[in-house]
Amino acid sequence: MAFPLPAHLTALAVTPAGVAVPTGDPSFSLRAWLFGQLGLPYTPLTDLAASLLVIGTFFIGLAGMVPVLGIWAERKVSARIQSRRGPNRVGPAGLLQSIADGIKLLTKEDLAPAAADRLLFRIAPYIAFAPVFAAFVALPFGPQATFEPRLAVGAFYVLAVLSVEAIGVILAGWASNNKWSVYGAMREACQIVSYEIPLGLSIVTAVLCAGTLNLVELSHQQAGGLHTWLVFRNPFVLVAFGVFFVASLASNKRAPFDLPESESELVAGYHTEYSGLRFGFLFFAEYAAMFVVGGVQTALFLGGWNDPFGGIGYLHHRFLTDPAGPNGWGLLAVNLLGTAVFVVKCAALIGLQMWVRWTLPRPRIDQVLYACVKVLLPLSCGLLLGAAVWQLFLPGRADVPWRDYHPYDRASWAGETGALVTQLGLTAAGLGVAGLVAGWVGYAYASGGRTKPRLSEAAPIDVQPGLTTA
Amino acid sequence: MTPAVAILGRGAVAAAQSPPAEVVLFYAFAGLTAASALAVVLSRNVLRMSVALMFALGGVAGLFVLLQAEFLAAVQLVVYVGGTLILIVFGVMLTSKSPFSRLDPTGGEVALAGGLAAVLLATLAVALLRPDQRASAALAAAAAPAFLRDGGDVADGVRYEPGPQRLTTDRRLVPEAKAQLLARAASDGRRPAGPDRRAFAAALDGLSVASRGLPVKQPMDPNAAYPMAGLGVALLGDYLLPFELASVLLLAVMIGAAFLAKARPKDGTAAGKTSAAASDTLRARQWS
Repeated sequence: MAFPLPAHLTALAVTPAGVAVPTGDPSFSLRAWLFGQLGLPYTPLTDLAASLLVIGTFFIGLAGMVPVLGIWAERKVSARIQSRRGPNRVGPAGLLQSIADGIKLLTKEDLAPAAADRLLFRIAPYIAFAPVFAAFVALPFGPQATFEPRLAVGAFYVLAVLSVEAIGVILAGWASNNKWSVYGAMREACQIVSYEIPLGLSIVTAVLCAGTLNLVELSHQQAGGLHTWLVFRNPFVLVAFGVFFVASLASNKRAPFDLPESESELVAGYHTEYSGLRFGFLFFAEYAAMFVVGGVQTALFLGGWNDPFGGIGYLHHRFLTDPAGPNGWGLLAVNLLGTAVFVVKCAALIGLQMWVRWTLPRPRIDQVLYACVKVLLPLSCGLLLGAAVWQLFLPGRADVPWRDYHPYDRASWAGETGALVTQLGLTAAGLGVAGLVAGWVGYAYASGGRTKPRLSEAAPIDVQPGLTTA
Repeated sequence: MTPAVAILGRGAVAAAQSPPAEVVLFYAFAGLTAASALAVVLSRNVLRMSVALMFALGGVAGLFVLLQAEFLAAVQLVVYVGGTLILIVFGVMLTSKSPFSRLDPTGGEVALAGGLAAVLLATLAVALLRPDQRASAALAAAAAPAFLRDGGDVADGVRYEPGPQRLTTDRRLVPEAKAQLLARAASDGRRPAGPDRRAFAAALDGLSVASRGLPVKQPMDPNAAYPMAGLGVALLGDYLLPFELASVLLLAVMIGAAFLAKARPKDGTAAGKTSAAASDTLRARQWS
């Protein structure tokens, strides 16, 4: 018995689930073109070598630099919020502080408690770190700058791989054989298992409107400017973005949900007994996971590698469908620009996570679970239902801008006036809220500096004998 | 030819015809899965068992990825590693009396488990070593007739292509079309004979059953990803009833869990009565 589906859903169902890039020359490969420019032969072997080179430099470099810069930024942000200076001794503005800390961690003795389960104690940091590293594969950095454009389950893959990280944290706490660590591990288990549900449901709410889980294809769909970003597709997705943000804080054990390591009660929670490089790996996992979650948020809701005016998407389409053949240099520039935009968006989201962390107090574990089971879970179920009903009666555009329609041309939205009005209205509302927040922060920054001068003169620590830095 | 040589021979044939990286990865993941499964059985420490189980499940997820079933791989990780395994560890942490909980099975338990494992092994061996089944496992290499293998030739709507589904069709195969295909395969001089003919017939049967799930079967694009939309339409279309029945089962489990977790009075004692009153007010507060 076949269930009759509405016309726009059957059309979606029979679309081959490939990657919806703007069609130009379908056989054009940016990498093959680059090989030609460099005068190298493009064979499977050189392709493999190039892949290994990219992974070895860019991938490992990125996954290594994200925690280093993240920890530095965390300390600077916290210092700003607490009227301190933060790291300012090693390198310009203390930028090399994390490197110095890393060297310190490398030279520390790698201790394990005598009563610990030594095998599990040793492998737990790797089990926590490796999945986060693997999750980078799904992130779309630019129109072509992706590791695997055909990963059809993109968003779901990230969710799956990050859930493995929790096992590493729980094992770290358990294997330490220390009651504070075990408390931390139990809190982590509670938190991860319960917050995975609103996290997944808010992803589904967004995916429902786009018709694909593929993060690359999702980014191409949002290439037409601010009002085509998924977060403004309908009101339910806008709220789902908030739910996803809160749930991602909890699944990353970031404050206010950092109960697994709450230092005021549990010494240091699950990593109490760790020192040296293994401690460093646990920290690396946390900061890399922040970037990955920020990247999923960016690609799912905030337009991925697109700028707010659709410029990158338009140029990409123009260069790919050039009558004189695809424009390789143009595409290369667009990809680099897109990567920069993507990383800036991720950094902004990480900054928001830090701001929240140093502003809000930590709730109790029962309050954390209450917030999940009785607030976020019903809310996200309702959002899913609402988005489904909305999609049935007022489906938005799930096409690729510039190829299938012109996002700024009223005529190309014919028959979808409701969707256009919704998206423009939500965009205006979102911009208004963002402007209010920015104005408030700017006002606080300006007036705070005027009425109560802070950090304006040398602190006592700066006039130590032998130190000449201001 | 002994059965073992037959299996090894077929493995070698498959290895020679597949890209080498895939074969290497297949044996790596298969070895990881087997070694971890062995560690689950041989370890005495429950937590170490669960870690080994995690590696076994991860290896199976890797095999799913090699079969281009990424969705199944992700489901495997979310459901078993992210859900079930965390709950196992959680249960051990909440209930264990000793620092590192150990599992010491009695002789009877070992015998029972060994017997079950032997029955399973025998079943699998019989199923895999039956000639027609064995051939259908290597259908892509051996059983597709040459006229289908030559460059994805279209024959009566049935195509042979490299990819996750080797035989694809645009529409459901009617018995006449199947008979026609078998006749054409029989008259093909380059076609391997013997059990492979039965395997080809079985593959055509399987094809006609499998294609019922999707409203329209698209020709597989070798560059396209796993058809996620087709899976969704199949789950919420033709297989809606089993899908909904499973969700009713899950709802029943959730209600049961909520019932068990609810604070209940101890019956009979005076303390029970006071605590019953207290928990009644608690319940009233909870449900209001």
